[in-house]
Amino acid sequence: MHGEPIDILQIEKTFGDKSVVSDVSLSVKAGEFLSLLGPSGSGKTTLLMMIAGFEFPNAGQICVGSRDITYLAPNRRAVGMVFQKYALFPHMTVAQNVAFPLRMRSVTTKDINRRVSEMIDLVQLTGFEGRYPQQLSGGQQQRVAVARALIAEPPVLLMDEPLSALDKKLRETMQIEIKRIQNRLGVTVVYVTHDQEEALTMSDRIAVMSEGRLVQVGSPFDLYQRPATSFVAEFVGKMNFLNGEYVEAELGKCRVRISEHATLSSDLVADGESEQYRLGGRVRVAIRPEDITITRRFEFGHTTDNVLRGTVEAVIFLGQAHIILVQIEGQGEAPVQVLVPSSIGHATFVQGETVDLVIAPSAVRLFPRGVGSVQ
Amino acid sequence: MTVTSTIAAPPINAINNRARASYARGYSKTLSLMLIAPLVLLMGFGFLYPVGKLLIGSLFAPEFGLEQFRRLIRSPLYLTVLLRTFEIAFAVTIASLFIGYPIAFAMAKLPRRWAALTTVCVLIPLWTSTLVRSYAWIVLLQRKGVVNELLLNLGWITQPLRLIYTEGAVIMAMTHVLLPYMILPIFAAVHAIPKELGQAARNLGAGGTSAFWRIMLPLSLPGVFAGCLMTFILALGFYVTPALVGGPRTMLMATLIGQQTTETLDWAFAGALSTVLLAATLTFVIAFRKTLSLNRGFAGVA
Ligand SMILES: Nc1ncnc2c1ncn2[C@@H]1O[C@H](COP(=O)(O)OP(=O)(O)OP(=O)(O)O)[C@@H](O)[C@H]1O
Ligand SMILES: [Mg+2]
Repeated sequence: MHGEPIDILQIEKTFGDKSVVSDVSLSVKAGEFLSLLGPSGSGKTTLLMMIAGFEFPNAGQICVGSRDITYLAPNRRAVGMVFQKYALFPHMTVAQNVAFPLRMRSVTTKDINRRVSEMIDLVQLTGFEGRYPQQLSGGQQQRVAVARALIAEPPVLLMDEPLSALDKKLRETMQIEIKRIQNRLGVTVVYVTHDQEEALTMSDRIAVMSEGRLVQVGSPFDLYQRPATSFVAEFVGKMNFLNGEYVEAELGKCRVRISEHATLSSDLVADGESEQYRLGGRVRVAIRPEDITITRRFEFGHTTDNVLRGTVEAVIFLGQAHIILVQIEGQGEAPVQVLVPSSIGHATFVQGETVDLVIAPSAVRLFPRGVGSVQ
Repeated sequence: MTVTSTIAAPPINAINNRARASYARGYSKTLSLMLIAPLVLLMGFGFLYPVGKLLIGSLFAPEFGLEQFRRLIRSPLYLTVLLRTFEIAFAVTIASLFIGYPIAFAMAKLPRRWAALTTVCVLIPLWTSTLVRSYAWIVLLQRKGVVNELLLNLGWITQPLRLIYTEGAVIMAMTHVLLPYMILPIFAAVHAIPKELGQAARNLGAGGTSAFWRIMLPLSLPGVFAGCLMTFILALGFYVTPALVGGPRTMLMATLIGQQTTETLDWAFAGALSTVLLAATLTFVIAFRKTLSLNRGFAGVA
């Protein structure tokens, strides 16, 4: 089986006068695993439904391979789909469910039997062929849904939050399972989720949606390290936000005042980008919890560049790490989260302790305030 | 709860458990009995007692024995009526199914506004008296009725057709009266099928027609069976409509029983007729359910 590329060109979709998907263009490479990530109501399902043929766009074009499928009937698209609640046929056994797509394509009974047993083997459900869906666990139903969607060898597979009904442990197992099957068959996958962790671990690329628009498309690493907007920065991974005042720019570096006695410099501002900030303007400063080094404060009253002073508010144990909540002096914002590995020998902190947070210029991202921000 | 607290305070734990257990069971036995008592009393005095008396009465006239039943078998008239009753009930059920299924399906699938309109159209007859609806059919079908007038005016016929007091008229009128009892269970069943199942079928390569035959129809069968059973049983015991539209030549069991009780005042024979109708109905229902439960696929759906 070979995956085929999907090309989505300037898709628009409105329900009544409500615009649900606007001007979305997206290319998915053959065999790629692309996640659509976005908050509830951002139009992910609607976009997927248009690829599957259950909704039609008001404008734009959708192609799979070289075929324009924008207005094709759903059964002629060769686009597989796994539904959120699996949508297994309750009056058919596992084997009958998996065989359904082949029966619709007049494959001979002998071939059907062979391919069904191969498929059931691939999703590791051998022995369950005669059961009815309601006699299966959530994870097993999920596997049946995947097997059924893939048996007719569609070049494209769509999945709409296929794991959201499962508990965390099973979800992680199924994530690996889905990746394994996808690697094996080489099918192109568009995977809808609003779980950013899931998107980060599974995807080749992630497309972040907000209010019907694509905000950023890129590799998980890209999105995590170089979020294009503060929305992406907030949505993907954990992020601390501070209010700052833009005070100085020189040689690709710029400086932001956080409080009376603290400034941070950033070298993440790209050429040309600094034009959108003016001196004295308000900016949002974003820092990842793991990019902060926390130390006990020994010298009083001493300020240096790129050090924030604060007080420990709480220490949260996560297992492999601690999250330390630090209230920054002179900032009304929520306490900053600092991630500290919880390996033996690492200093622990107690509530009320005064600390210094050291932040490298390479970890300080700036975003304009207001535009594109969620808050 | 920790181990220490269990050991330190066993009584509290025990109380907690008991409270939870009775909560899980729902109401206490006494309360449950009190709640169903009115219904049981009503059933006992208003149904079981008189019906039982009628049935037993058929065994004691003139003295204990099966005399009344022998009488029933001896005369071909009564068997003919019984047979006709089943025939007509069967025809009505089939007609209701074929007319009702598409309507029920449309009600479940149409956009909301149209579905509401259809539902009202289905329900309005249910809110009108059966008597009124039966008279409506008389108005339509009688010798100088609307239908005959129309056909005469169009010149399609030269003499008024005999429409009323025929089996066809009875079947048509009964179908009309009983149609909601077929439509509503089917509508409920179709409505309960998740929309994704249809979409999944289409997505997996089924055209609209095969998605219907392979997914929607099988999954709506429990509603079809419920509707058929209800319509059939109601049709077996139907009184008003066949009495008005059918006339003496298409007499059904209910009409016959009615005659025995109100005209000839032969309560013993009426009891025997009722016994036969009840037994036939029960046999049919049990056989029907048996057939269904043998079919494993539906066990999972229903
Ligand atoms: N058939 C419809 N008619 C009217 N509005 C709709 C319809 N389907 C979706 N919408 C609206 O479109 C918007 C996007 O819906 P969509 O289901 O695509 O969101 P989503 O990103 O999948 O959200 P979630 O993560 O909650 O599944 C929502 O505001 C929703 O109310
Ligand atoms: Mg959705």
